[in-house]
Amino acid sequence: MGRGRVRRGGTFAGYASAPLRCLALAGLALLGPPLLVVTFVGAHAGLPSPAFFVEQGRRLPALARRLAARWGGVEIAAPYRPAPPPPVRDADGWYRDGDTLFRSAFVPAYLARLRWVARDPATARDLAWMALNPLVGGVLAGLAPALAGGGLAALWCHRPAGAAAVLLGVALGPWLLRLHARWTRVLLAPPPHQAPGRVARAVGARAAAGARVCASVVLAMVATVFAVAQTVTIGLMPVRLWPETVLGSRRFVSWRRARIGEWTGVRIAEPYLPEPPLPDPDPDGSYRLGWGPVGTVYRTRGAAVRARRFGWMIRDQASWRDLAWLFLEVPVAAVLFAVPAALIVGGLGWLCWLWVWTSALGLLTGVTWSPGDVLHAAVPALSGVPAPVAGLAAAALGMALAPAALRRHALLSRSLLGPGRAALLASRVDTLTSSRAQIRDAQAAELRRIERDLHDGAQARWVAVGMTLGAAEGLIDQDPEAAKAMIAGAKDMSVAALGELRELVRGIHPPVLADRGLADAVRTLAMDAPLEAEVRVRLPGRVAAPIEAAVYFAVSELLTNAAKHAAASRVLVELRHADGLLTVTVADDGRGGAAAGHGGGLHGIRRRLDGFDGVLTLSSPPGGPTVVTLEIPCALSSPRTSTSSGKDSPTS
Amino acid sequence: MRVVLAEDVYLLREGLTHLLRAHGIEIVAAVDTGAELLDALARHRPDAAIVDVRLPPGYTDEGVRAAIEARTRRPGFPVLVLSQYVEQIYARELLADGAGGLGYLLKDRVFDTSHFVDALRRVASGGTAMDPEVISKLLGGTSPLHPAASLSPREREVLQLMAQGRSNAAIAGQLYISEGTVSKHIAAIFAKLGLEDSGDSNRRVLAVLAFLNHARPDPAGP
Repeated sequence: MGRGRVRRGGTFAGYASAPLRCLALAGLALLGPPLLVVTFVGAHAGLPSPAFFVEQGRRLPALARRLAARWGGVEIAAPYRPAPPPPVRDADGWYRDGDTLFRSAFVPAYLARLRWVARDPATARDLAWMALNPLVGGVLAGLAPALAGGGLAALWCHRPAGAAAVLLGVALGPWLLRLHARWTRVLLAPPPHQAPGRVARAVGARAAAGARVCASVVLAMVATVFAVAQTVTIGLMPVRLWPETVLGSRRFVSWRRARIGEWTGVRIAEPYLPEPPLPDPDPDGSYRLGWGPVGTVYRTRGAAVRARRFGWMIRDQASWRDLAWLFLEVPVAAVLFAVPAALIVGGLGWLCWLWVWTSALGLLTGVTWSPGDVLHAAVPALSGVPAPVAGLAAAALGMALAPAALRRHALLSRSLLGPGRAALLASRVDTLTSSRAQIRDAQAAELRRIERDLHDGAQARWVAVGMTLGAAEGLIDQDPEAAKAMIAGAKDMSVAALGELRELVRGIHPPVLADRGLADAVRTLAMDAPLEAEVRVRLPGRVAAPIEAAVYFAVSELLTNAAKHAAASRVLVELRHADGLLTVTVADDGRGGAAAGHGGGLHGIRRRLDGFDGVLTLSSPPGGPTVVTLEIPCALSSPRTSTSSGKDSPTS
Repeated sequence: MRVVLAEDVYLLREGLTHLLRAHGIEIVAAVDTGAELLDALARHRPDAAIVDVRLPPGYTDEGVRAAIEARTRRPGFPVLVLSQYVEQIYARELLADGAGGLGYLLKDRVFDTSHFVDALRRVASGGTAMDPEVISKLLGGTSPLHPAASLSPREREVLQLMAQGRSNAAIAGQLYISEGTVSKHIAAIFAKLGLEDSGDSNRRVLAVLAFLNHARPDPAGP
């Protein structure tokens, strides 16, 4: 209704209504924080549903958007993701959510809506708006009615000043409405797509760190709950209840590990030993488990599983390191997080938020207490500083301290939560076992291929040569011409057999690799490939023969892929060795889109490299270019003084 | 013709000696290492050398290195290199000096005695004898952007035979076409590759090989 007039900004009604509208907006701003608390508490209480509270909580931002359009002339689109569709019953009558099946639609719908609101970034922005709006939007909108109202009150004592204030309040009204609408757009509109600037990123990172520090304090208390639970259960029901508690703790601690990695970039690997399998039961169905010098016979499978699990956990160092960490969380948080968390919570919650409330309350009731008084009484040096300013400064200081505190906590946590020596060895043994099995399989397959090639190829041909020569021997007196033709045929067959043997040898170990080493062998591959291939080599020595062969066949495969599948016309092959790492890069200008799928050539290369702890990384966006990088840890032997040819010059 | 033979496998050495003697070629020395080869060349001053690529003690590329060394000492000295397999990289290194009198053949070619002896005589008289497999590798390793990619299949066949060192008449006989047609094909090949045809068959072959050799990254590097 009033939008058009406000836009023009010149009508009397527009000016007259603006301070009243501003007053309404200021009142609305004060509703934000209590609604934030209700939403937060309600969502964590979980009933009737977290999504219910968040969805109801969206009514206030929705109203703010409508008002911004109507009064401030700023249209704001709703930023929310579309609601999930109701769950669909599978053909077998179950409802599926991830890997869990449900008989009724209630839980899957509940979970889907929970994920929907929790993963929508607009939810966080709504909540942030509720918290910040009294400080920004409330102050902005409150200015016009405060000036107009205050001016009216002052008319009694000082006419010119009062009149000026009223006029200013009325004159600023429409402009403040528009400014308020723009502020509303900052958090309530869909987030802009361009990347935030450097300053915005830095501020955002510190604000996030501040929030995480506060969360870490709460999580430290949760950690204590787990620690106490473990201590109690190991005292009361060690075999029955303690392993369950440890499993629960491990889930919590793993989640914390992931958060620490996400928040600080300090990655902590899972340290737990793999669960050992149950031994085969005796013929009578009982299980024998040994515990060092003694053992126990378990009559039922369940008892054996429990005992095995108990033994597994109690012998895993990681269980005890986890427990120590859980106990230490609170003291560590007290040292590292107390100061920044107190600054942030005290600054924002007490000096800003509570100040707004006590001030608003003071206007209505005449009670003049404010948190600022406590601050000024406690720190007389700050007596001239308004409480919100001091609060924002304190919060900013807390947020500035937060990243360092988080990082220190992460490093401390890693020393306890990271894998110990035993776990590292166990995971290494796992890797070696699987790569050894792969090598064994690959070798067996290779031998079978060679055997088949020899059997079907050269061997068969030599049999034919022998038979033909035998026949020729028989014929040579009666029919010399026919015998001659047969001998000629035998000669051709032997040539063909030689050709096949040559190919076979090339596939086992390419002669040029044996003669000249990797650099020249790769150059030969590049020459033979139907592409413009440039080879750059920086290898001041030779690597072990098995690695040379693996790299040779890998490059051969990659060049074939580049020519055949990627339709590339140019390719660059680089080999270099530095810091104990052989790096091979094959980059082409083809159409990209390569995938290291199971059974493909890239998968084969990856398997072959596994045996050398080598790694294949693939970057192949659709449209190209494709870059494949092989990295193999290895030493160089017999270093030569000259580096062979830094760069070959392409000429055509 | 007097020839030095470097071949470490006894059976092959004896076989080659008998075969060449039967064709009136004198084997002045049969040695089995690269160092002995260079000694024998210095002592006997033969007309040509036949060299196996793999020789003791390393059994890698001693033959190729000895051949290159011999040709550095006596530029253009005719060498016929024999091997169980052919590699572009060796062909390029052998051809790098741009002189004639060079052969690089698979050992299988020895089976065809008359062709083999022809190739040896051609090399000894300053010509070339490249194995068909060398040529097809040189051609096969060219990218679609390379001028050689524009050759027709027939022109490729002619180029193959020409690069092996065959004369126009031999090419005509092999492909069952007239010598005139062969000349026409050769003119077309030279036009497509952007080369001058000198008319002399030896220099012509070297021009083609040099073109195929240098139109791609230099194997030996700077």
